[in-house]
Amino acid sequence: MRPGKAERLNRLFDPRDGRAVCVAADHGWMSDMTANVVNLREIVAAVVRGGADGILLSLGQAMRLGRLLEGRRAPALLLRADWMNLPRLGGANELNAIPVTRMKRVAAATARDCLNLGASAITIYFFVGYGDEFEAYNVELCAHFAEQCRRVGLPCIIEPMAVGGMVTGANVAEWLQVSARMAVEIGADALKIAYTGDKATFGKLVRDAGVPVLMLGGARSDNERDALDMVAEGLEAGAAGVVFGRNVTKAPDPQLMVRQLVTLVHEGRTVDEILAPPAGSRLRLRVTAKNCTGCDLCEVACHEAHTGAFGKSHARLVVRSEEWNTGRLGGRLHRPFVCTLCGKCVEACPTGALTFSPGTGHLKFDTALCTGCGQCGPACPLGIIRFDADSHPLTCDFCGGNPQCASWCPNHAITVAVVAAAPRADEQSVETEAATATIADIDAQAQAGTGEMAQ
Amino acid sequence: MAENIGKQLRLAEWFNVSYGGAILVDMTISGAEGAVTGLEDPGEAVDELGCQATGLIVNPGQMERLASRGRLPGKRGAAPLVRVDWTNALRPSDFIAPMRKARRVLLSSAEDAMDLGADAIVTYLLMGLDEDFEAENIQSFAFLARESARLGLPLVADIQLVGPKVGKVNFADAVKLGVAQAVEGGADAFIIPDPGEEALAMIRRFSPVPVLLRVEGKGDSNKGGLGDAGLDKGGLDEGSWASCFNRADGVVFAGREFWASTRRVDLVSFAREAREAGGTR
Repeated sequence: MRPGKAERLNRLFDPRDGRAVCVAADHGWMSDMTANVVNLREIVAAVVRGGADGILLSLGQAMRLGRLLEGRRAPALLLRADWMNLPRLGGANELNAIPVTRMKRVAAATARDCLNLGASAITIYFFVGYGDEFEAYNVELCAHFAEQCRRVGLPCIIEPMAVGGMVTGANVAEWLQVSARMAVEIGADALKIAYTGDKATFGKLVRDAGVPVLMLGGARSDNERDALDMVAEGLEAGAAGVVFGRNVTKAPDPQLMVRQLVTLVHEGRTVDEILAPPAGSRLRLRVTAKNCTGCDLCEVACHEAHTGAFGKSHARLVVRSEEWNTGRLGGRLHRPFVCTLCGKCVEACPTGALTFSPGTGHLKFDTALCTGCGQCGPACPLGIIRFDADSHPLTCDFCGGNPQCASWCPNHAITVAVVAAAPRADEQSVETEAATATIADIDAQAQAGTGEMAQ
Repeated sequence: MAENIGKQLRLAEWFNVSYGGAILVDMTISGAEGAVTGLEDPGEAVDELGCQATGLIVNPGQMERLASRGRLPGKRGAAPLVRVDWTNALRPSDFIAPMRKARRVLLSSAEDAMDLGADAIVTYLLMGLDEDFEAENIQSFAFLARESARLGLPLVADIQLVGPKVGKVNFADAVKLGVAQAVEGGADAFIIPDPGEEALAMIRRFSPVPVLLRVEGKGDSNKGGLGDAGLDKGGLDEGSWASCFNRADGVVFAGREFWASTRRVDLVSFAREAREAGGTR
């Protein structure tokens, strides 16, 4: 490898662990003017603050925002040297102002142009699976870029993408594996590629490639845990890091998302550790009633998480529906009722079988102490405690810190909030004031939500 | 704004820094439609408008001709911007023969334009045509951006919505798409048709470079920009003109209707006065 390439790769991949966290922010070059395109300056600044190792920009934006990347510790600049119209192909993009029916890809800069702008690498696409002619054209164009990069000592990051009629769910992993190796044979110094979906096939891809492999984040995920879990799997399979795009640029807090990725990739922390609430804080479930469509997925998810089976009978929450009719209009309103940790059930339990868990503050149930008296059920102000066949109450345990109802709710009617709260003086008892406040919270929720349904 | 001293200085030649705006007049229609009414003698047109506008967009051949004959206004008037490409896609439906296939070709390189004395180059970004056309256009635009960056010459993207894929329903979104591509590709300013208030506000919020609205005179189409004060209606209400001209960072007068109007000098004067009175940046 030429010294220029080696030095610039070292600017991107942390020499301590050979890994990199990169953010792709070049979407405006190829797709519609979404929020992440409009607010790019703020996003790039947040990415820099988050400590990313690299950021991918179009040349035009690099000319304007390059100064945000000044300094040895700032992210390395990666430049998108080509253009394509995939985001506008068919219904792939929700905006899609001008849909296209045929894939096109062209060079948009030379390696020398990118080098002159201060790039540490270029990134180019490599499409496979769309058709023989287009594949050959892609090979030729990638080879052209690779040759330019060799000449000027600039790393060439190739992004294989399997799209088109020859790609199916059954063969996409194989396409990615093959295209990864093809890209290396053409001259890639590193790869930017989608996760194949499992560790075994991705591990083979990484081994066969023989160059650093950065995995993509893909489309924006509603659940940051899913995105981080995927990264953790990829790293286990040998990935050298990530290139996250919309999962960062569309995140509510891009800096935090980058920071989480850096922690995962460079510091070896687990996803659970990263997402754990800060010390002195507690997890709470929040309900936004107006978002609830009554799909009951939360109940099913809860039941499944605790029994491993499909159903709702063992769910620790309840979705209630109510008819409404104004005379001219009518319908059904839905609202999930979740445990608010008010402590009424704990108070009602005569044997101490129900307590608050030290540390998390969540309910803890001791089967050995439970006599099956059933007093906790009526004590619950929301009436959400069900009983199993042994008359034991089914109380919310927050699924060990990852509440499945919130994870699965497609409309964010149930979300997890991290609230600052001092540990209870005695986790075995209930503070009346806290319980009162919690009930007040519920009332406020009911009024702030649809307001149509009484607790 | 361009972060390149050559670009900054040349941009300031026609983007007036004191009131933050540009009044451009596009004379390149003759390259595709011949000597249209009002533009039979380009020298006369320059005499007429050259001291009101801040910049004149001319084709390379006309630039050479005007410059060599001393017809450009010099430091007291408009700066020359050279259009480096040609297209048949903007010809009207009543043109001599209908267009069968949209084409766009380069007339000059950025370097050639700079040698001619240009203070910027202008290139088309034509939206709504087929995929091949679009890809070639984007590629050409991207390489012009690289060349102009090397030369320190501002690049102005002239975004035009012409193809069958653009209609009233997606007009504003198509303009936004064009703007995103222009900015990400490296344009130092861009010219757009009026996309409506909401889209224009979003574009201005997004754009790190000057936004110039094309004024073509027809108030009854998306090409407009003048609303009810269209040229053909003769409604030169100063208040509405002022608000029209101050909606963006500048205006570009172009098109057959503009050149055919007997009041084009008044229009450009009003635009200038409106900018000077209430610049928006």
